[in-house]
Amino acid sequence: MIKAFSRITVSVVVATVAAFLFASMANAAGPYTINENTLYSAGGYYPPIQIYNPGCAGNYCRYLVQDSYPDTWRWADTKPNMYQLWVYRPLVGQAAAKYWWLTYRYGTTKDSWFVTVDQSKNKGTWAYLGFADYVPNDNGELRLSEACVPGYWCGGLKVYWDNMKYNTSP
Amino acid sequence: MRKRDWLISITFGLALGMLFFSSGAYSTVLAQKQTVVTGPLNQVILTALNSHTQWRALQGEAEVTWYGPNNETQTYSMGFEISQPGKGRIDTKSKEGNGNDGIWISDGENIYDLNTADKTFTRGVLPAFAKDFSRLPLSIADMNRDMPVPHPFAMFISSPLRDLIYPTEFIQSAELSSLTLVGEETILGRKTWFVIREDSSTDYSKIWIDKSTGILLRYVQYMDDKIWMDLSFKSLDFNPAINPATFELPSGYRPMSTP
Repeated sequence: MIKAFSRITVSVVVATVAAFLFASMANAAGPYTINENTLYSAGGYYPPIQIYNPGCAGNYCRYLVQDSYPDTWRWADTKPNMYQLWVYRPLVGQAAAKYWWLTYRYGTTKDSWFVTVDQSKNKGTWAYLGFADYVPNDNGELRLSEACVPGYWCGGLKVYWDNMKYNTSP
Repeated sequence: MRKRDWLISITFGLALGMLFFSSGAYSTVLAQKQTVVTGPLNQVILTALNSHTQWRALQGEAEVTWYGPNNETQTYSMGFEISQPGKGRIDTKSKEGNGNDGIWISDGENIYDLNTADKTFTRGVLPAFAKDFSRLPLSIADMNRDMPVPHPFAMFISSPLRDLIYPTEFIQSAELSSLTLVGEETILGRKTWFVIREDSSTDYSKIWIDKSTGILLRYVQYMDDKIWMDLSFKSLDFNPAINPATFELPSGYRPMSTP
């Protein structure tokens, strides 16, 4: 009886430790955050303007106003084997915007798709942009421009670049 | 305990730990879950969460009006055909002729955004996960407000219409305490639940949820206490036979170099 009780006790302790270790391994694969201060041009001339606002993740966002000559700016590269991706909808969001997600392997584009996010809705939550069809990959990138999206209000609204986050599939 | 007892215990413990983690129970325990709702609102939320399971194809017309500053408005009409799990077409036309028109097409493999003004298109791939519904929460207990899971095909629909057709993200991203079931109304001859979602005292939405399918028949959004968007179906046909050619890239369009 005592032996069985000891076995169960040790098992529970070991199970807890094992679960913690597995969870730690998973956490090592993210989530990683890339903020808007890493932006660089992917076909953009005018850089997004930085603002301070508590409604932005980390209190800062960048924005461009919708116009007829959209500029495309991208966040910094992700680590290899990027898997799932989210982007933050700041509380100051106004416009619908089209995000473009790419992953690469050996210099070749693998995943390439567009997801429209209406930044005026579901504010203060993370918009899910999906997960990669191609893992392993060498890196991924996320692009955004202030171009109008058909069917949504067009003209004069601010399109925001805020934090993106992703995890990797180790 | 002898050496053999330790070995058995540790092996059993490791197996238990692996099972606990791999089953997803770990993340379930840690994830922030929404409070359980009871009463009629519970039925409303469940119906909306599961709405994509209640129809196979949709066809009809919808209209959205955006209300900008200085009493300006922009209105778009949208003719649409959707065939689950991954085909769709939405023809968007500006009523004011502002040039922000377009056609969105998914043929189940590729997604095309057509610019009707200059006859160009961009092409993206419809990823495999767009037809994988296993991550969608189907119950209130599975919802996570901070990180709502959109319908995987709806993510790729580049039109406000997706908020009507696939309301799961709207429901998940609401604080449940912000939802009020006001009553029942009839739209397009269909019985609806009229629900108000209050995100703050100045930002709120009114939605009309079809009682039999869970899709939204109308969605009115207010920002800063002013109306911002009024989106609704003008006609709606459930499970019609749709010509497969509808989802093909029309001739006469050339690819545009993406930015």
